[in-house]
Amino acid sequence: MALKMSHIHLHKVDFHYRYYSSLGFGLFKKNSKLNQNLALRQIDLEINEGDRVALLGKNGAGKSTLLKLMAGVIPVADGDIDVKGKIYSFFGRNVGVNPYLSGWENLYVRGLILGLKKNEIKNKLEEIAEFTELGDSLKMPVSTYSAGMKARLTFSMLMFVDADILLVDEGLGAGDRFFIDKARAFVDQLLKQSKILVFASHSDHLLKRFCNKALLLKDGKMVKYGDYESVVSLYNTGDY
Amino acid sequence: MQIIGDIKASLKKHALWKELAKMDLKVRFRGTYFGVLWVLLALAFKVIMISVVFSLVLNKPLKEYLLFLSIGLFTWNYISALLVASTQTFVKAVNYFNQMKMEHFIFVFQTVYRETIILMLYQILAIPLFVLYFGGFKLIWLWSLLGYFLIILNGVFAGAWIGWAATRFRDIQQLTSNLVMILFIVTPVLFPLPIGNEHHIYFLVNPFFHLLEIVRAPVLDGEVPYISYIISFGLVIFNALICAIFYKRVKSQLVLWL
Repeated sequence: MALKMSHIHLHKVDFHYRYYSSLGFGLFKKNSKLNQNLALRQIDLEINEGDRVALLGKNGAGKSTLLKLMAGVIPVADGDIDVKGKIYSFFGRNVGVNPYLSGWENLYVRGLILGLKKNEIKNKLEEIAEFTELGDSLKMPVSTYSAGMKARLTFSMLMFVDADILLVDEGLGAGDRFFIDKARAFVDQLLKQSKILVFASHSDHLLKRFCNKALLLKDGKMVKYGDYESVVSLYNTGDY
Repeated sequence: MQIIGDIKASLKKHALWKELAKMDLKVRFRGTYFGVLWVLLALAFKVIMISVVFSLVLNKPLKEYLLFLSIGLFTWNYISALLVASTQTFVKAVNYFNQMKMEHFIFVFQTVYRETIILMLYQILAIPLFVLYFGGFKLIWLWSLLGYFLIILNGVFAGAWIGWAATRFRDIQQLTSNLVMILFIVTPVLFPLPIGNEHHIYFLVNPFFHLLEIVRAPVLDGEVPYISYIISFGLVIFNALICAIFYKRVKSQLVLWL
């Protein structure tokens, strides 16, 4: 039996954010490309199993956009994108949390969104609850949580993850100092288990620990893709 | 067709949209003492107030008018709630769409399911009222169930395209909530078809009149308005076609409109 290998292949991918200035634009093709703002241009990229790719570049270089394209959240404007493997995307801490619902309910919904069965979720909820150390607060609405508690909650949602490909955009650090140690151990394990990791972060320290490759972006174009050390050294010179 | 795949996959995730719908209701009534009972209180209040006044305006016996009004009103409430809520279907789901690829009909089903729960609650008042008045359950009432089924199908397909349109053109939210108020006045909800003008074109071209009749007529008149059923079914086909035509284009663009 052939092993199922995960990969992400991009071929000449373009993407522009469009904004429409008046009625009728967007629904009708001939008008739909007005006011576009090029976010990514001619991206050719092959990420294969075992690759842990750091995305480097200044704000606005296109890192988040590239991750969203890989996740299938936004469509390519031109070119092809081919992704094999189950994806989990983590695009920020506040995404997908309803402040009026309790911590438990938020965790439960997250499990359902990820396509888990009811009893699978119930089995995991105990473990996750323990991990958060939030105790009875889990019964209270999230709006009553402090920032640190909220961070614990959203972070612990990662425990539902059972994916081949992990797409992470910033913000994996969570909560207070004691929690961070625990969280770090968990993230270590999670990132190590994933077959492919694409990680956008400004923390050299985190990237260095987890990545073996890097992609440097500038103004939506690829500057360099390859071995982590060589790309980072170019990035650090600031001369690219 | 892609849209069928979307609908199938969404149906499979029924645990998700049911849970989301229940949580919507929880959030809607959070902090209130009567909670979801407000649905019944509001309806009872509305029915009684309007009945007292309009039975005088229309010179009808109170009991008879109350019956006519209540079945019309909670069916209308359901239809109008579907219309108005559909404009929010995708706008509300922005967080999910920004995080991952998701089927559109998950959120359409969430909206329809949520409003249908409320419709079920209405039956707590409605069914005893009708059974008492008519002295038992009649088989012909089952046609009303079919009527509701057709309204639900319309709610799904119309809800999807209204949701898309309202995400792209935010003006549609405003338009819909105003339109619903006007429709309430011009559709025979408060008044029966006026004698002598029963077949006036203004009433017959109003699709909402037919959607009401397929629920109301079997119960009130003991008749099956076949024409209204056919029109309502045609409406389902029409709405489904609009969805099928626009799905592919909207699928990739929706997240950019949010």
